Amino acid sequence: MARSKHNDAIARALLLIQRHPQVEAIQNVTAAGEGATVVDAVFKVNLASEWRAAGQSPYGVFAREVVRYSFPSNYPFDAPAISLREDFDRRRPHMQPFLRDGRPVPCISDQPIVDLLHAQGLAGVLNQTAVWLDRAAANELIDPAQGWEPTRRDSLDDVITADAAALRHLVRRNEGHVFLPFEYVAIETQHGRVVSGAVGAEPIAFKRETVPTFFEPIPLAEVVRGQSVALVVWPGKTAAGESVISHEYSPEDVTDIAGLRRRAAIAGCETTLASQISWIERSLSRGYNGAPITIAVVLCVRRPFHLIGIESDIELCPYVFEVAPARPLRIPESTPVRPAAHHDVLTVSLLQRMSGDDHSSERVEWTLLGAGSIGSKVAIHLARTGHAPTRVVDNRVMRPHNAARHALIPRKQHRELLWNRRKVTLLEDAIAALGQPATSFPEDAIHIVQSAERCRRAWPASSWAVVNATGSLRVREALSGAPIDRLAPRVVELALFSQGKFGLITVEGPNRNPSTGDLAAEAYAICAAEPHLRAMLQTAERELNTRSIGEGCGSTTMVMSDGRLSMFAASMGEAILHRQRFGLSTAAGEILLGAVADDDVSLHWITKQLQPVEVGRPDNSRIWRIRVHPRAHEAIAREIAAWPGVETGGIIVGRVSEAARTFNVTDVLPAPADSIRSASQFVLGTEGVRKMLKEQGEGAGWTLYCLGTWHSHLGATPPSNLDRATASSVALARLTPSLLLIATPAGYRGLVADPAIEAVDQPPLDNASAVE
Amino acid sequence: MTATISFFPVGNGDMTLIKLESGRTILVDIKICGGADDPEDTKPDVAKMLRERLTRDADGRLFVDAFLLSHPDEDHCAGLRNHFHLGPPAEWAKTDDKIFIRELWSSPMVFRRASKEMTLVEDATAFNAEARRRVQRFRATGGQVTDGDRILILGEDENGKTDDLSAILVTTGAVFSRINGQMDSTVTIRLLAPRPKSDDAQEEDRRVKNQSSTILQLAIAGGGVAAAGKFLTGGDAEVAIWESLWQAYKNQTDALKYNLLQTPHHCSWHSLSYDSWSEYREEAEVSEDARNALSQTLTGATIVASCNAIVDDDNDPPSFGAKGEYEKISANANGEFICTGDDSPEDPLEFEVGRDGIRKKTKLLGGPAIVGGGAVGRDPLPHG
Repeated sequence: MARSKHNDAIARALLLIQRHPQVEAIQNVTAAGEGATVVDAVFKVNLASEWRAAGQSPYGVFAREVVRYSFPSNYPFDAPAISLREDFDRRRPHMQPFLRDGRPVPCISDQPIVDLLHAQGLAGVLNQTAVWLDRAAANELIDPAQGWEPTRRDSLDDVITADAAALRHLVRRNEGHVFLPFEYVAIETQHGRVVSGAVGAEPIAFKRETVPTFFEPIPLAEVVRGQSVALVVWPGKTAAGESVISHEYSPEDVTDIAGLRRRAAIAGCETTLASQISWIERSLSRGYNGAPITIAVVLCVRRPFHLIGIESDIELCPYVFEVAPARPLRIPESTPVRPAAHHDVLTVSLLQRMSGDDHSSERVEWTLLGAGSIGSKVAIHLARTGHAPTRVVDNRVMRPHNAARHALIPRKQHRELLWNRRKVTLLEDAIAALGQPATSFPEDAIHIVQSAERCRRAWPASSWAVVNATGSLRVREALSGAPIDRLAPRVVELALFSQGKFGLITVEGPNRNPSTGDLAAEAYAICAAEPHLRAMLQTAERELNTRSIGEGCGSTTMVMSDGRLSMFAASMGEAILHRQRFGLSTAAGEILLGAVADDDVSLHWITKQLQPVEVGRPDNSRIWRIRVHPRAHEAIAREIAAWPGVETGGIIVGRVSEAARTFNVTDVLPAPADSIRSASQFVLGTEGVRKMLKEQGEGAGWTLYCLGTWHSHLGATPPSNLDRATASSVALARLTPSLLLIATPAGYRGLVADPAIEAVDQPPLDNASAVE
Repeated sequence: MTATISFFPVGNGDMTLIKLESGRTILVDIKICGGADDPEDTKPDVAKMLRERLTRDADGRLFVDAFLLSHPDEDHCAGLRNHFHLGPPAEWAKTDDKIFIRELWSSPMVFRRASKEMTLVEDATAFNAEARRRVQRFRATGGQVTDGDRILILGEDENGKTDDLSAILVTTGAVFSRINGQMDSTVTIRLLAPRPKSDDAQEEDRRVKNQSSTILQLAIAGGGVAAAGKFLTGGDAEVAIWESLWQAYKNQTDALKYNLLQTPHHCSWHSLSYDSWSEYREEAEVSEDARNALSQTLTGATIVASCNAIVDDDNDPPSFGAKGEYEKISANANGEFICTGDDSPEDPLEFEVGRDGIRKKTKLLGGPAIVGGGAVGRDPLPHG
């Protein structure tokens, strides 16, 4: 590969793709401007032998499929986009409803690709791609055990809120329909009208006589608020008396009334749809003279088995279209129809808990990152004690399912019309309602880190702390790598693991050493050493083995009760409150690990301190840093003292952050017995090493692993030519970058061994100040 | 639900695990040495790979439903005593945690005494002792045996020593579905060899070596479809056996059909020819009948040679010449030939039997592959 513009992480990604056991080759590596890179990976798809002989499966998947990965310039902060060849059959389930450069986009995972990337690395993305292709080839993307995947409608602008269970309850054995009231707000945009509406519960008598009083578009300042009807239709039975069942998955393709009729025909309810559309025409021809109104149609499609996550086999497919008054009023076949997203209504339940705080003191300035379930809960806990965050950062919007655990509850009035508002705004409102004004930043925390100006606004240097409750590994990496002139306040991280079995709180040390990234690596080391915490580390591996493809492909939902989440959120709130009252540690960083016992009731926390880490830089890279944890540092010092007058060494263990370009050396393993020490060189032996590394890696669930080697220099000398030669041989043997750490009397230095770094060594794009 | 067939990376040797849709497991041969028992050995730890694929019973014992020793050569039974429980079930000990064999599948060879032609390694002797123990137990209890005492004899003994054992005997040519005493609807197995004794003294002679090898054709259900995939496994059977099979089945070739073939004797030339590969090379003559017996491919059939990487030399097995023959056979079926030593020397080569047939299992990239030690621990690393 010629020296190209892409960053080292992309260079490494290309190497990794080629190493995937199902990838035969990569081709067409092209720069896509601004450091972005596009690569085509040729996947070997394991077809059943008869199909392999034919070169493709009956479902149109070839024995060799070219998958395109488009890496953005800020990879690995953002994930590569994945697309298939242009003529790949789009009528597969688990296919995105949109194209990318004319190419179909597979939906390979039930979580956003960026989350998969940060949880399992690019290997996880590649593995999911391979599994997706396998299932597409065998037409097994829909798994009856998992359930029918509803037609993808999650990227639609128009939204209909309706009680799904109530709608399904309307469906009878015979073909039929009902009219329900439809209340909506409509916004005119440059792309046309966008509607957010709520379908009522009680059927209405839709007659000519009621039309004049019932339909009411009310123009407001910016929006139209209106009342109209929602037509719900469902299929009946075949001539043979069997229920009409739609076995075929087909992506949403309705754009007009004709298309809606075709869709209804597939579902088996075209007769009812036709008669009711003409009824709407006739009814409105007489009595209605107002502004254009929006009408909703909900097709109820009967599937062969239950839908994912629910017991019913009825899929709800809502649409909206507009009619303007005319006499006579006609709804021609070409009338535009827009598929709408369906949001379920909320069943009101008690989500809120009261916790008092009668302590009164000055409100401290602090910034909360993440207004999700943990963030909102902690914010409200603290708001109730008079210590609400003064700044809140979050770029996501509220959805009905968030209500299951989010601290905020919706309002009774116009409840269903208020979804899609930003979490940060709603949280700011709630905090303000408790008498504590806050500033909201509807932005991605990563975006803030990239600008000094935005940093100053979001977390002034005088702030008490920045509390990261995003649960996002990429945010952790960005904060960890942010220099102190961008991010002066210490970072406190709050996170849950393994479906709420474990919780983690870390607090950075003075001058942000240890950093939030150091503390995470140390937490892994603590868990590896504590039998009752070790399961926390095994999550990623288990998910790799059991992850199913896409459950509706919407958002990943951690299965956990509100109470479980609150157990941790309460502790986290208390931990913050305690430190606000009594101050942060002046000597060290802190790690608090909580675990729920097998009784599901007891929550036990342990608290550990981490002294500042030793910081070094490799001699052959401007961008990588070395951070040696105290335990490893002390072990190295002991080993050097035990071998006066000769060079000695051993194996280093820890983790690599590709995003923050950091090696965290958490532990060292002893040199094998067949190592050779002399005044001029140290030769690391091999006896027993492979077994030792395997046990160490497995014990830590591969969160901590061999990073390379360390050895001592008797003087403060730079790496020798021998060291450089060894680094080169190490670089070729592994996919992750390796480190040859050198302990000199004047501190740590070393060599990064990385096949990618030799071609590319430039500052990370997200971290402009990471220079000499 | 799918069935799986796993070929473990044992170099020249056989070790194959079949997991049926019913959940039952059939292990054919083992070769567990080096890696598993010596931490410094760099061979793949096949014992660990096997154990990861098995489940434990209510008593906490890892088990296989059936273990078949195709014939008593070391490269088919190495590690039996170290890794498998032999002896009465009650003597299984948690501390040893050995794999429990619910039912032993043995050839009638166990009734013969070791002879000059047939010296047995210790693991093979131990297998024979265990088989005889189970037969004795069957006789003593009048057939009322349970897990760990069950045995199935594949093929009748020519000297009549199996005559009173019809309840646990499968005669050559028969089709059976009984595994560990129960009917299993997810598989039917045809016992193709050992072949009955021949009257032709010369032919009988040729069979002295590897003559006893068991040959099975397994019709395995996948995705709820019966016989979705056919797997033919041939132990170390040599050319005379395959010739005799062709003569027996040339008018009933269904019995020899396969989607997946495990080449006999680690891709040995002697399964296809009487000539020596190293002496005659390309001049060596292939037996038409033996080749026919091994060519009953179904469309797209895969042929697997469980052996070291095959290079163009005089070695046998694996033989470069045999590889060429198998490549031709698979190419005629639009299929493929895979050598475990070339394709998958570190991990098991695995296949899945689904409703659409047999396909190679997709490999994923795991943590160890990405972040393992790399060069560290493999070679001495000098530092200046």
